[in-house]
Amino acid sequence: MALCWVVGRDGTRAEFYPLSSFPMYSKFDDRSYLVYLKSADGEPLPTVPTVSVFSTELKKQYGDDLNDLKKQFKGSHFDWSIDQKRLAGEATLRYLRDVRSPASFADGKLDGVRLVDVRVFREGNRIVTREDEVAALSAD
Amino acid sequence: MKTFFRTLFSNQLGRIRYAPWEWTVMRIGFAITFWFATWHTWRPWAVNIHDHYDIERANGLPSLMDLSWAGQPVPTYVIAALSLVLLVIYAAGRWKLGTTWVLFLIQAVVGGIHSSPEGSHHATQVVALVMLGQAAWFTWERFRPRRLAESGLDSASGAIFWSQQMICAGYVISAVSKWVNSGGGIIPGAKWVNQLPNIAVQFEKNRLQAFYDNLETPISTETNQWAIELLLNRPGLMMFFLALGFYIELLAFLTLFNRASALVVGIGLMSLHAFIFTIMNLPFYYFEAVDFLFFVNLPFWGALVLGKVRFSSSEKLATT
Repeated sequence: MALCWVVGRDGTRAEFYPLSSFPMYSKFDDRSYLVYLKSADGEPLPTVPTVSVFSTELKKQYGDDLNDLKKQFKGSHFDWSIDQKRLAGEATLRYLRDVRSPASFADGKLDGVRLVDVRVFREGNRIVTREDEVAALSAD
Repeated sequence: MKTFFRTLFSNQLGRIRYAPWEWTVMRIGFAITFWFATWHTWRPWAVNIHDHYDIERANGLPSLMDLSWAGQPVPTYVIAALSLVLLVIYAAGRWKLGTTWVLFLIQAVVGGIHSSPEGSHHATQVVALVMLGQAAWFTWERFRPRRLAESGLDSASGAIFWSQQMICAGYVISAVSKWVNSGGGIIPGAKWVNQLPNIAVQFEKNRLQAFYDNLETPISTETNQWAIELLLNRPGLMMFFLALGFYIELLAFLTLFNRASALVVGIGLMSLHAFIFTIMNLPFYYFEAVDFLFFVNLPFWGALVLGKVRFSSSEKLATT
């Protein structure tokens, strides 16, 4: 486990189940983010019954897809435009459809599903949130 | 009570002797914990493994080879049935070397798939780690030189001690990650504690994520909002309580020193998880279970109160 922790210091993999550096909540910024799903007609969808995924897992996937874009775009994704984040959002929706929960998407059940990016900020002594629809899955 | 406090400060690292009945209770409790951590249901007919995962981002063994076939109905039921049979044998205390290694392998595969993509959650690692610790102990017990066997721990005490070490390793590594990732420094965790007012952002994020799971208001909403309010307006008080959580993780190895410290620190760790659940809606069922079984060890203290076990001069607390 100590080896796993050391290996993870340079940002490479620090996880090899069940070994982990258990990095959860190991540093705190004054901003964070999450994602949720909306139906084609704009209604929020519960992630567990809809795609059998917890919101935490959905956020993790989106975070990985945002990280993949760091080769392409500079700076923090907190400063990126919706268009820049769209690539990650679409990759996350494709992951849900093609890898994680194909049965949930069968027969066009989730055509037009959208991914909403929610940013949470601490501004002085209050919490502020901002939402953007970053991607939609077309019926292809 | 006086003896309890005297014991609290005595060093019995690696020398605590557990009675066979304590190991039996822990083994049965851990077998149940293991089943639930692996299959997430009490119903053997409702077991499930994801039959798709991204191998590039998979966690552990599933990242080395495509194990998605395990998620097909027949392999899933075979693996679940095998784990059920092995858990019964394990709980009965038979074939410990073989059962612990195979059960660890099953947990490493099923838990690895469920915990993919890597880093998605850390709920069940502790169960696999404890099983790995026990498998390693039974291997050592089988092959250790005779002179070490005569002076070393008996089978039950060794299995418990090695399980406890694995649990402690998880907590201490977690605390060290907090210490280093928050900026390091000479005083452990000082920078982490200093950043704590920003945890209000995480509390709000967790509340929203818990809501979007099922579009239901999470039961922790009230305490969550209270904690956010406190952090934003009177951060000192919350920083104090949350700092206690960091130091109890960092000092989790104190559980290894004697039975009394295992009880005190074990209750502290369980309280930490309960506090996090109350505010962040993040359940830590398996950490709670292993802390309760291997550290708090309530049956021993019950037996002590009932006079079924006694204090011994050599080990301070020993079973009769």
